Amino acid sequence: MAASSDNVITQALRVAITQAIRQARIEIKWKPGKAVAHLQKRIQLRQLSSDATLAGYEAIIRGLLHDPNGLIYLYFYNDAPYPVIIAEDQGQLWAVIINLEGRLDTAFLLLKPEQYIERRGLVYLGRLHEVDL
Amino acid sequence: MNELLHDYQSAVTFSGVSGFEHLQLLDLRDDLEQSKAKLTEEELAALLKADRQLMALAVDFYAELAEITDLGQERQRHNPPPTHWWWYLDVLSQVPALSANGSHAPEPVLVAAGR
Repeated sequence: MAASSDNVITQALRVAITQAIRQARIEIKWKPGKAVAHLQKRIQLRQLSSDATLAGYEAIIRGLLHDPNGLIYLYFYNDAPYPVIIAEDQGQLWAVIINLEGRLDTAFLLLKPEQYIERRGLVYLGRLHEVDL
Repeated sequence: MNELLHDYQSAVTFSGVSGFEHLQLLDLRDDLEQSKAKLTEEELAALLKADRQLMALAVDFYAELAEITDLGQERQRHNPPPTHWWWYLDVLSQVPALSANGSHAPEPVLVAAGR
C-alpha cells in the first residue's frame, strides 16, 4: 500500500483529488444516516463538548479543509483512493477522510498521528495551499 | 480513569461509524495492552467489559473495516501477536455465536489460529 507518490499519483488523479476537496469544502456530505452517530461519537470521546451540534462539528471540518497548512495524504484500498486531510484545530490534529466524489467518510481526532500515517501507509501529496483549489 | 481506556470504552459502542476510525481503535487497543500492567483492578474490569463489547459487535465492526482494508493484510504488515485478538475481527465475525447477534459472546481470551 505504501508507495512513493511519483509511482501512483497521476496528473489525472491529482486533478480528481483537488476536485474532491473542493466539493467537500462546498458541501459536507455524509454517508446516509451517519452524521448524527459521528457527532455522538465525538462527544462521547470528549473530542467535542457535550453541547456540540452537527453544525458546529461541520464548521470544524470546513475549517480543517480550508487550513492552508493542512497536509494532504492519500490512502488506497482495492485501487480506490481516499484523500486524507490532516490539519489542526485548537492545537490538535484531526483527519478528514473523503472519497473521490468529495463525500465525507469521517473526521476524527488523531490520537497518534505519526503512527496512524505510518500504519495506514498514507502517501503524502503536499499541503492544501500547494494545490490548486 | 485512564484516558486511553476511556477512549476505548467509548469507541467500542460505535460500531457503525467508519472503518478508518476502527483502525485507530485497534491501534488504541494495542496501546492499552502495552500499559495493562499499570491499570487498576477497576480499570482492568472496565477493559474486559469493553473487550466483550467489541467482541460482541465483531460482525458490525468488521463490516465497516472490510470497506476500507483487509485485516489479513493489516496483520501481515504489523505482525501482531496472536494474543492480540482484536486484529482478528474478520475471523471472529465468522464465529456463529457472534455472527448470529453477539449476545452470547465468549470471553475475549481466544488465540486466533493462523493469519
